[in-house]
Amino acid sequence: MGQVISFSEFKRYYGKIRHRSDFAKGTILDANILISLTYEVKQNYEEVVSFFDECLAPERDQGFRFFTTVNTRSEYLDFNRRLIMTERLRDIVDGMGGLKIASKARTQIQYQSGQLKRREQQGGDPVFNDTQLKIIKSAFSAGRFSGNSGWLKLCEKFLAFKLDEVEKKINIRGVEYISQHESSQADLFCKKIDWPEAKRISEKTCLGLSDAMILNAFQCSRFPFIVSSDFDIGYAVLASKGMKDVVMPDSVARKYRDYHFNESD
Amino acid sequence: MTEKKKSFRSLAEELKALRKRPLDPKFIEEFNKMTEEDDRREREEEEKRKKKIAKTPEADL
Repeated sequence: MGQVISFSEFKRYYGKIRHRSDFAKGTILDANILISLTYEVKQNYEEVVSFFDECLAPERDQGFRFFTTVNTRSEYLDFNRRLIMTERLRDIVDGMGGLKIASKARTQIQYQSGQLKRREQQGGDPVFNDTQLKIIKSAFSAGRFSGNSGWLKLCEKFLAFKLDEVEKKINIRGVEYISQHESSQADLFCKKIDWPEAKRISEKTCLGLSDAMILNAFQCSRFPFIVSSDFDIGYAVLASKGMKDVVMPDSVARKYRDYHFNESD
Repeated sequence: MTEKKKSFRSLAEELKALRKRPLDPKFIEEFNKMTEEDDRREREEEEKRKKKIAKTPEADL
């Protein structure tokens, strides 16, 4: 089983392993960490940003590398897609920006915004989920003269090429995309990424397949640790034999105090 | 590699600016015209529906 290392323990932890030649100098960033860095509304924003600027950025400037996998990058971009659309649509109904929309669509956005406020009060992000966006999308087209074009024009204006810009922002901070198809990255891996292992990781703790794929890619890499704030990722690392370590915000890491895992599992 | 890269602290602010980028007035004008046309057509359709209901024999019962 791996260890959960809190941000406050990181310097001591990494100081011990930084010169080990069996590890590659880098890590995989989970989507939730990238989202925290991106969005100051997130509860652990300050904790994550401080950790990056004080602990990881100095390592990065000395050659330590940050990577996203296909899953963490797609989850991160997906969050940005929903965030951009949420803020723009709510601006419209709040009368900001001067855009007028059909009353049916306006009513639906207002209703979904109300739902969002309730979710926010319970600790959720103030960002429409895909079910809500689908409902709003359908309110733009049903029975209208212009059909789908209102929604399509908004998508074009609000979203087109924005995800490229988001990616560029993280790329210039040294976040790279990891792939086994990239021959120049061959030395970052110790084995081939394959489905059966991802399924076994998922089955062990009922971990979502997307998270299991992230952990599987990490296990196939030569990185000593992954950075995540997802309780399930830490739980899977602690519960499974042969897992490597996860570095987490102190606020998440302390949740495992009451869990006792058997090392022989 | 000892290249100094950008700080993570500025990321949220930069992405917020990207999300809040002002829309160009031409787009707003075109979009609003389309919405107004939608609303006009909707009102016409509504009127037609009302007239049709008024003309049906069941409406007199």
